[in-house]
Amino acid sequence: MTYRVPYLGHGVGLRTTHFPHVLAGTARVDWFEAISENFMIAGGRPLAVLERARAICPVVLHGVSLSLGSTDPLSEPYLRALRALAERVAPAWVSDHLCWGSVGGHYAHDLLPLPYTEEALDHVVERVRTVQDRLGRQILIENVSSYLTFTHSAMPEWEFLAAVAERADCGILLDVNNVYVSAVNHGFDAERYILAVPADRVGQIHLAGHSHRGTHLLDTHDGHVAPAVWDLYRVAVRRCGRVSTLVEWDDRIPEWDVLCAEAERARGVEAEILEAHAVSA
Amino acid sequence: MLSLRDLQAGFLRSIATAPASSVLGGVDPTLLELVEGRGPLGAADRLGIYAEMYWARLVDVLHDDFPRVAAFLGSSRFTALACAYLTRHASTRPSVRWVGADFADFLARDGAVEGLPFLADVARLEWTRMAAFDAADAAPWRVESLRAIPPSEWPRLTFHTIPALHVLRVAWPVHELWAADDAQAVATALRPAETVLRVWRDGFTVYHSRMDTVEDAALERLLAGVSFVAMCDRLEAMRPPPEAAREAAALILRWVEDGILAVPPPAEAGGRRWRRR
Repeated sequence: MTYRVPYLGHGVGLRTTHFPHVLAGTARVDWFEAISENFMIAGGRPLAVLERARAICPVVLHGVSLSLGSTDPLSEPYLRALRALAERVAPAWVSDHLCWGSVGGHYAHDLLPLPYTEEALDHVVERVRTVQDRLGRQILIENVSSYLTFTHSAMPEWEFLAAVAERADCGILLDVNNVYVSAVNHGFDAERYILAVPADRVGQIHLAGHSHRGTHLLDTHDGHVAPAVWDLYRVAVRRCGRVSTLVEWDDRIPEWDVLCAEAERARGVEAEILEAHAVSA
Repeated sequence: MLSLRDLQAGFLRSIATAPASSVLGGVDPTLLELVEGRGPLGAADRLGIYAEMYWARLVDVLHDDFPRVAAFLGSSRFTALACAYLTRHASTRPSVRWVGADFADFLARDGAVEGLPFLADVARLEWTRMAAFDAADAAPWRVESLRAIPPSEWPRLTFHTIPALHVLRVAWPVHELWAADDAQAVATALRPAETVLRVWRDGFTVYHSRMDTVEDAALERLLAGVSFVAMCDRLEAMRPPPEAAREAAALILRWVEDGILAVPPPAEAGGRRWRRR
């Protein structure tokens, strides 16, 4: 099997800063990505905003706490809450990260790296299958940015990601900025990563800003997409074709128009690549 | 070779056992051997990036959830107390929404700050306001509905409250700090006084209000599900009968105006806007 999701165009994250635009109906965008956990609540303004957003355009749910790689049991209350939210919102798809974030019942609220071993691969594949069964739908898994790798990893990250997607029969949320950040931090070829990802499973692309911290790059989502990441996005579009793309901007969030301009820039880059491809074909 | 579980346990222990300055002091050497050191960053440096992010992120969460506590403490004292809290209270739920669940109790028990004896109660009010903020929605009763009730129906009426209503009992009148233009100045003069607050949400806005003993007693009866006449009976222990009934009716009107009484669920309403008992 492969993974098929609709093409939604170019979206932005649904963040508190821009809630007034959504409530006023002035937030014009192709689609929104909502952080699942922020809406796993009983009621109030956030859920009202989410429902308003849903009435304006398609919404997808993007989780940060599924902890797919954790060796703790999956949280049943979390899965029930996620399923209930998905039934309420009817998102175009649901995604989370290829990482772990908790162990021994202790949540780090971070996206922590896995060793790329056969043990971890078997474990994650089983967990993704279980999640998909519980949710009654396929999910997308996102590559995370990382600051360390493990000496006993038996394969590069892109092989691990592809193997999880193929064996668990799930989709991929390809975070181009994360590929770039990790490539710089670990000294691998970012383009090689993009070219190794199974294109037919990529259902969404993330773009974001990062920060230079002297010795490494930090995935901060606090600014414009870097030129090198735009270049890598061009590679991704050449490889995957038209894929729903979202600009993440989570800190020092700009005015609505600035955020939308970044999404429009992505639209322009996509069009430029696809037109060039059409001409050469 | 560490199992995946041991690797994860060692990783989290390394970054989350002790904050900032002493971070990585207890790193498992076996774990360190499994972390690649490359370029300008050694294995411990790389683990340290995660440690720094762990503490910074969770302190930020607490800062966002307890802005008034943070304002009273100032940045460095707040960070120190937040780290002490996080050391003793690891997050055990997937959403960061609940990271601060025990912070007020921690401040009361272990986080005493000289000159700020009311701080735990400030935290309690901030946390309760957050609970009201994202509580379940409910259609509030409006004044027109109240006025439509025939006087003969009043004695047997019972009322529902909205899920976003909370009653908070604190030892300090911390609500005075919210209303003050200069909270620091008001805090200096604050004296302990048993205080009962009702906290609620109307629309998207969260409010709180101090209750006197009569309102507290009346709301306690209403929350227990008694009829209007039983609520008046309770108030008659505190007020003469005619005054008790008038005050109970005035309280109901005030609560309706504030939006804390809910339209009963359809099954119970039976086609009416109130419930008789």
